[in-house]
Amino acid sequence: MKNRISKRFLITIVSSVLTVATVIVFACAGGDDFSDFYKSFFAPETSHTDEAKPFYRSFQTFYGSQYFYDAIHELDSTNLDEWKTFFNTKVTGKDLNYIVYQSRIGEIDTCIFYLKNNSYPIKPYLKKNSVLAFEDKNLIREFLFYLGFAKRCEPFATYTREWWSDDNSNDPRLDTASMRKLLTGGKKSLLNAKSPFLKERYAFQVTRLYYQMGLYDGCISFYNDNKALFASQTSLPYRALGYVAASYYKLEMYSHANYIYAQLFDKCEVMRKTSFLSFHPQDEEDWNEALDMTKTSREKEVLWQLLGIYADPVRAMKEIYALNPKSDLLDLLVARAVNINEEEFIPGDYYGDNENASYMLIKKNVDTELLSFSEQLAAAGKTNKPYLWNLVAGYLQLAQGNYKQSEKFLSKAELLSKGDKLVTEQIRSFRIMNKVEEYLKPDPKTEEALTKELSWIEKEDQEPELRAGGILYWALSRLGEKYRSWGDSVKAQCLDYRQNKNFYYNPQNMEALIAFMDKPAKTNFEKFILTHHPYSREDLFNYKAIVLIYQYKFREALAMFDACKGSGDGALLADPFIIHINDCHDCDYISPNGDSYTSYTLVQKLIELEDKAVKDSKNAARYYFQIANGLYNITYFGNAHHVFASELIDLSVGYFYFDAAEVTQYYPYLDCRKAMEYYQKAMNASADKEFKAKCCFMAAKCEQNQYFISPEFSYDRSIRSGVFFRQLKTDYPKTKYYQEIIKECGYFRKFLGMK
Amino acid sequence: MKSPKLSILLLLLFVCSCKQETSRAFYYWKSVYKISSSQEKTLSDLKVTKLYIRFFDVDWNESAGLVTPKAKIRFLEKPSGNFEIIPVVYIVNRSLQKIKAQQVTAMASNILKLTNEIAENNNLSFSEFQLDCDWTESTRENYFALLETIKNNLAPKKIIISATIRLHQVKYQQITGVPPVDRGMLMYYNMGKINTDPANNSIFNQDDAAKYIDYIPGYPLKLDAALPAFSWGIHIRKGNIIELLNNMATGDFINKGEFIKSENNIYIAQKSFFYRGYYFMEGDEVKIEETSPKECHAAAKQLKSKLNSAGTVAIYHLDSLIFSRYEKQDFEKVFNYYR
Repeated sequence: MKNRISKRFLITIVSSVLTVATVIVFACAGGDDFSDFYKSFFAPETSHTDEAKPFYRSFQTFYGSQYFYDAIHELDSTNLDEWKTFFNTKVTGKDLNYIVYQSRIGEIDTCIFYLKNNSYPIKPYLKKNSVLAFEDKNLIREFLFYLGFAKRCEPFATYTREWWSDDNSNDPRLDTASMRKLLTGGKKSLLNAKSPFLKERYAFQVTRLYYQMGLYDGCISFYNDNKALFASQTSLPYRALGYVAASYYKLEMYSHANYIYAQLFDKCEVMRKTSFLSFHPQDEEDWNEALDMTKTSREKEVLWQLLGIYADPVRAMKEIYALNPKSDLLDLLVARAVNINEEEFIPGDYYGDNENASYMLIKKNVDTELLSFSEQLAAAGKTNKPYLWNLVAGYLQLAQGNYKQSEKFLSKAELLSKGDKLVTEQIRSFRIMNKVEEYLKPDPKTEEALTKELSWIEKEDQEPELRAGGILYWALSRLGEKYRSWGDSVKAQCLDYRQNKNFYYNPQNMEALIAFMDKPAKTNFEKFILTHHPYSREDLFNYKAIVLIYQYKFREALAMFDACKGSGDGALLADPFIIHINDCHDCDYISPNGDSYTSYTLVQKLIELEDKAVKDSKNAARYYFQIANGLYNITYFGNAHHVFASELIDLSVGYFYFDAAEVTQYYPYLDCRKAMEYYQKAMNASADKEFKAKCCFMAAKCEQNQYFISPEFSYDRSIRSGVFFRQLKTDYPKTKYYQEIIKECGYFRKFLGMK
Repeated sequence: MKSPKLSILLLLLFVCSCKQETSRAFYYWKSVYKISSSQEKTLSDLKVTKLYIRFFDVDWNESAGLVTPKAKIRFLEKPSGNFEIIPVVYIVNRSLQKIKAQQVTAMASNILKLTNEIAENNNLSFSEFQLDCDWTESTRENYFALLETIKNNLAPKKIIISATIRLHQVKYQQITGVPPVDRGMLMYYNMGKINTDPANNSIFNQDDAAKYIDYIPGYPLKLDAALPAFSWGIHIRKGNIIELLNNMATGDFINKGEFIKSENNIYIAQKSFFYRGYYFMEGDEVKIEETSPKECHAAAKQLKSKLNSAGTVAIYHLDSLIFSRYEKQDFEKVFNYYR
C-alpha cells in the first residue's frame, strides 16, 4: 500500500478543519505561489501580441514576471547599447559598462588627465579600457566630461528612501545648493558641447535635475524650450518626456501627464511598464482633455488602449475600432477582455470542493457586449487578425451554450489562422468542450471519441501557452456531472471524485466500483477514467476493513485485508498496546519497537488477545487490559490513530474542532466506550489493587474523552469528573498508583481540590 | 480580629480604587495629520484624552514581492500635548499569509523601527502601541509571533501593546486564538461581511452584532471599545464588490447627473467615466454605508449591555466629514455610556 498520508490527504485535512474551500491548484503555470491566472481556458498568446505580453490579464502586476521593483535599472542595457552606437561599436560592452556604471568620479578625472598628458599616472586596468583607445580623442574627452557631470547628478536621481524608514536626512536632494550648481553647470555644458548626442544628454540631465529639485514648471519649460535637442533615435527623448509627464502630474495637470504617458507607452518599449503604472486619469474632464490633445489617430488609439488595460477593454475596443479597424492595439484588449470575462463565466467551484457545484459554464455571465462586438468584427473581417475575432466569438458562443454557432466561428478561425499551432490547439480544445456539452446520453462511440481527445489534451506536447490542464479538468468534472445525472455513479466517481465524497461510505457503491476495477475487458474510456480516479483498490479495501475494525469485528476485518494484498500494510508509528497516565504520542513514536505494527498485525494481535482471554481465564484481566489499550489507541485520542487516517477518512489527526457535525461524522473514531468497557472488565477480573487502580484511571480517561465528544462539552469547561474519578478516590487512595496519578494528572488534582 | 472600622475603610478604598474613569478617544486614520481648530475645540470640550493615530499600513507589495509599509503618515503639525498618542499600525492580513515564520522577527523590527522614527521625528512619545489586523486561523501563528516579538521588545520601555479585536475573533476564539497582548480594542463594527444588499449595513447593524455579543463577557483580555462613526461607498459591478470608496458619502453621489439613485438607495452610474480617481462603468452601482449618530448611539447602548466597563472608548474616526454630520452632543451621548 502506498504512503498513507499523501499530499492530497493533507490538503483535505486542511480544508476540513478550516471549513474554507481550499484551492487545489491543478493547472496553474509556474507552480509555487505565483500564477498569472486562476480560472481560464483561453490563452492570450493566441492574439500573437508578444510586445504587449506584460499586459495580458494576470494576478500579478505584470504577466509572466513575478516582481517589478527596480525601475532604476530597467534602462541600463538600453543605455549601454546607445553608448555603443555613439562609439560606432568600437568599444567593448564590458569596458563601457565599467566606465558608465561602475567607475568612480576620480577614475573619470584620471582618464581625462591621461588623455591630456599620457605620462599622467594611470592604473593598467583603466589604461586598457577600450574607450580610451577610441580614435577621436576630442570626442572621448567630451564624453568623459559628460560622464563626470552625469555621475555628479546620479545620486539625486537614484535616491530611494528605505521602505522601513521615516528618516530622510540622507536624501541628497536636501542639498539644494549642489543641485543648483549642477543645474547651472549643465546648462553651460549643454551650450559648449559639440556632439549633438552629448548635447541631448546634457539637456536630459538638466530636465531631470529640475524635476528632482521640485521645480516642475521649470522642468516643463526647459524641456519645451530645448525640444529641438531631443532629436535622436535613442530612449533619451522619451526619458526626458517622462520627467515632463511626472512634473505635470505633480502639478495636478493630469490630462497633460496622461497624454504623455500614453505616447511613451506606445513609442518607448523600455518605458512601457512604468508609463502604464503612472497612467491615472482622475476625472472625466481631464480624461477628455487628454483625448483632445492627441494629434493623430494613433495617439488617440493608444490612450484608449491604456484605458482598456486600466479599466474598460470593451469600451476601448469600440473606440479604437471606430478610429481604425486595422489597429493592432485591438488584439491585446480582446485577449484581456476574454480573460476577464471567463473569470466570471467559469464556475466558481471549478477547483473547489463544493459537491453541488455545476461545472457548466455560466451562460448569464457571458459579456454579451463583448460577444456581439467580436461577432461583428468577425463578420466584417476588417481587422488585422480576423481569425482572432472568430476564435473569441467561437469561445463565447460555447460559453453561451450555442455549440453549433460556436463551431461555425471555430471553423472560420481555423481557416483564417492558416495552421498557426497554438491557435489550432486552442480551437481543438474548445471543440473538446463543445463535444462534452453536446454529449447528451451515454454512448460508447462518443466515449471512444472523447477518450482520444482527452488523451490528446492530457499529453504535454502542446504549445506551453495552451491552458490544457484547466481544460482537461473542466472536461472531466463536467463529464462526471453528466454521468452522475445519467445514474452511472461509478464512472462519475472516476471522472471526478470530488463531486460525491460520500460515495465510498455506501457499501453498494464500493462493490460496484471494485467490480468496475476488476472488470477484465475494459474499453479505452474505462481505462482512461480509472487513471483519473484517485483511490486504488488497496485504498478501498483498507477503508472497508477500517469500518469493520471500528465495529470491533476483527476477524472480518482481517479477512478484508486478506482479500486485497497490501491493504493492511500501513505502518503504525507506535506500539498500540502501551498506555500512560498522560497520552504522549510523540514519546511513543520515538520509543523502541514503536513502529513494529501495521494495521494488519494490530488486528491479528487483538484477535489473539481475545482468544487468550477465553483460554487462559486466570490471566484474563491482563489480556483485557491489553485489548483495552489497543482499543483506546486506535481512537483519535490514541497513539495508533493512523489506523483510520486513511485516504478515505477526512478526519484530521492533528487538530480537531469538536463541533457537533464533525463529531457525528467521525464518531466511531472518537468513541472510547469500547475501550472503557474493557478497562472495566479488566478491573473486575483482577484482585490486585494496584492493577485495579490503573484500570480505573484508564477508564476515567475514556470517560473524559466521551465528555469531549458529547453535546455538553464546552471549551470554557474542559474537564468534567465522572464515576471513575470518584471510584478512584473511594476505592484506591492507598495504592502507589494513586500517588502517581496525583503527581501526573492535573485534572485529578483539580478534582481532589488540590493545586 | 480586624476592627470593623478598618474593614469598612478598606472596603471603601477598594471600591474607590476600582472605580476608574473611562478615557475618551478618537482614531485618526488619514495619511496626513492636521486637525482644524474647531475639531480641536470639540475634542477638548468632549474631554478626549487619547488619539489612536494610524502611522502606516503594512501590506504585501505584489510588484516588489516584499512586505512593505504603505501610506506612511505625514504630520503637518504636532498633535496637541493634551492628547496621549497611541501609534497604530494596520497590517493587511495577506502580508502575514505571504511571509514565512522565520521572517516574522524582521517584520517586527521593521515595524518598530519605522514607528519609532516617525514618533521621534515628530517629537511624540507613547506608552501604548497598537496593531490592527483582521487575522484568521491561517495567519494566527505568524501574527501572534509578531505580537509576541513586539511585546518583548517594548516591555523594557514600559510600553504596553494592544491589538484590535473583531467580533468574529471573540466568538470563534477557539479557532482564531486570543492574541498575546496587554489589552484588546474591541471593534464594535464591521461585524458582517461587506455585502451588496442594500438593506444590510455592514459597518453596523444590531442584528449582526447580536449574534456575537454573548461571547464578549467571556473574552479573556481586558477590553477597550471602538465605536463606528464613518462612511464609505461600496463599488459594485455586476453584483460583485470591486473596491471600497473610502470616505465617500451620499453627498458625493446625490444630485450628480452621472449617477441616479435607485429606490433602495443605490447609486447607479449612467455612463462609463472617471470620477475622483475611480473609474465607473455604465451600470456600476455604489452602495453608501454610513453610521449616523443614531446608529453610533445604538451601538454604544448595545455594547454596554455586555461590556460593562472599558478602559477607553474610542470613536472611529476623526475627519471633517464625520464632524460635519455629528453634533458635539452626539459624541457626548455615546461617550456617556461609559463613565
